[in-house]
Amino acid sequence: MSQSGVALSWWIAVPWALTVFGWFLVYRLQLGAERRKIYREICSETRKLVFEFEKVASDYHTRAHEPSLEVQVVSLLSRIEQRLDHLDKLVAKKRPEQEWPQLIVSMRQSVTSSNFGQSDHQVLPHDSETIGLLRVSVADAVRWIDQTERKFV
Amino acid sequence: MRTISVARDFSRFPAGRKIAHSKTSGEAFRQRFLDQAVHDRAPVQVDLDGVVGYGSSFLEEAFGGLVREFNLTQEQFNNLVRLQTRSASLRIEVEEYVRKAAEEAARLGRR
Repeated sequence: MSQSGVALSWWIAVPWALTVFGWFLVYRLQLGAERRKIYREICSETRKLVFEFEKVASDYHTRAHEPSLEVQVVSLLSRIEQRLDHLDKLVAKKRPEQEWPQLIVSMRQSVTSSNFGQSDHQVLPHDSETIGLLRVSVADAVRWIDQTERKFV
Repeated sequence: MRTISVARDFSRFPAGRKIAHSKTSGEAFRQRFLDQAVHDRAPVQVDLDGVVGYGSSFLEEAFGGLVREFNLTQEQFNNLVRLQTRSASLRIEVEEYVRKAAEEAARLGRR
């Protein structure tokens, strides 16, 4: 092939290469956006579970004894733990400073250390220490989820 | 080593501290499964998975209570009771109760 022929075939390949590269770039950007959207949805669902836990736990302690709420409390905690574990694996090295298992421990302790799972259940006032600890532990968990969610914006 | 599954051998919903207030309490679990292991000095593996969830009062009384009952050190507890669970938070919480109970026992002076 002559020198001018080689130059011509090279110029023909350039638009094709640019097209493929552009397609690849758009694909990668769309994939990243889609992935971040899924992660944000997991954060949002986990946050809802934490607020649901707060409500159920608060109802349990401030109302007459309702054993079904005990099951709900520990069941919600198990589900929240699974979600936080999942989120923690997704953010890998970019995780917030506070370790998430301690958040679960704090939430469980605030609600189930006393006046839980026993026949002599007492109705606590809304300003009791138990409810205060519950609010603090939930706030910590929500803060952790918020910090994690920012990694996906 | 004998394996005790809380879900299979005791209850799917362990909760409460004392037997007087709950049949599935930490005290009931400890007396039924763990006390004997300490008496016999026979290590046991406790599988914590498979239950609906745990109350902290159950965990504290079952494991921290065992340390108090027999004046165990943390090391003695770890040699006698092996925890098996996928839950990081359960492991942390039980270790906290065992450590605190052992510290309390050491502070009060061992028999």
